[in-house]
Amino acid sequence: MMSTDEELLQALREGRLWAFQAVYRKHGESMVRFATQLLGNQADAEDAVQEAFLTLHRKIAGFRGRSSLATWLYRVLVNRALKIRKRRRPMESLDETTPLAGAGPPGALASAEAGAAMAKAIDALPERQRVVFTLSEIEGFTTMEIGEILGLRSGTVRFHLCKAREGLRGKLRPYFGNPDARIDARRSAVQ
Amino acid sequence: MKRNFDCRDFERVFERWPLEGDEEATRALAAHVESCAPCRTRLQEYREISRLAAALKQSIEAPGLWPRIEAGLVRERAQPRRFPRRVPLLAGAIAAAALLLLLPTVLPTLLRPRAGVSRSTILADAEIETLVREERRIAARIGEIEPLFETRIAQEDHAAAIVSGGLAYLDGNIETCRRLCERNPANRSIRRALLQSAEKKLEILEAFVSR
Repeated sequence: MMSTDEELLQALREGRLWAFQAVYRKHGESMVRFATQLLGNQADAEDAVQEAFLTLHRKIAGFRGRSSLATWLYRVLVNRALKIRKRRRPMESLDETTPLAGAGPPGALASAEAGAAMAKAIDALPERQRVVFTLSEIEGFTTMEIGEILGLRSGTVRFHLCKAREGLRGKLRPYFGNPDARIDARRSAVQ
Repeated sequence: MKRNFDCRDFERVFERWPLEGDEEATRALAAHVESCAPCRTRLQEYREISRLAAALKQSIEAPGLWPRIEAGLVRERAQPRRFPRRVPLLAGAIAAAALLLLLPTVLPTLLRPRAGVSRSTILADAEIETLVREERRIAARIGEIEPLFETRIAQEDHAAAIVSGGLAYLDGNIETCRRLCERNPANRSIRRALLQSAEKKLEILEAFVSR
């Protein structure tokens, strides 16, 4: 049975399991994917999502609906994920001279190689840029929604997004466009 | 009339990329990159970054996660809450009744203006002296009446037992105000609260013993 947002919120406040399951069905997968992107592994990501849902259960009474439930939930998730990340050792960052294996089609990276390079490059971004970029480009949140999630102004979100994009551009430039340039970049990296 | 953009203007447009519905800026950028190779390359690279990032949005399986969350929620629900969700009905009703009974008697006293007292929050020395004298007078009178009241309590006067609950509340107020007055002797509101509580106590005692 479909329920309105208001009914869903009421059911969440009453602690009804079906309501939590409905929220999980709607956002669970993207939350796990987003947290995996932030944390680098799915096990930690699942822990973060579980903690976010338990926080939802504890704090839903204080949710006033000024933002959407999704942005509120992502805000909790970001805080949890960053706490988990801080507890762990810093992850290996992308070394600019690391040669990437395999050959790709001219004009663009081969998709598998590109995905790996992109994931590593995102992981190497400063924390705020990484979170903003992931929310925007992978999860599809608007600048305003990201501002609500992170408690930032839209202008600040755009600033971090631009910085992130420029950072990624710098790291991935040898692999864009001209295939000869890419081969030269790899050769120089290997030497 | 439309402004002619150059690359420096487009720096700001690139900062706002992906422009989120700003069609005018999108059109202007498209026109500009037709004739500007560096901006064209930059735009292509931005698009490539967006394409690669979107490709990371893959389906992810987490079959054991919902059962874990569900178990966690059930566990949390089973734990007692730190604060009860609802005040027991009877206690709420008693508190409301007590408040209704107290309000008509306490409010006029609280709102009554006092002659000869200025509106400043800090009392002058002369005012403190006057108020302390008044406090002592009331305390002395209470000291005279209270033994009579306690005799009634000892005789198990039912009404005295009920009133003693209200007096205990006022005693608590008086005690707290006295402690605060020791630290802030010139604070008008504390002095006023002390005097009002003492006056109220005296009023109740006098009314009771004169029955």
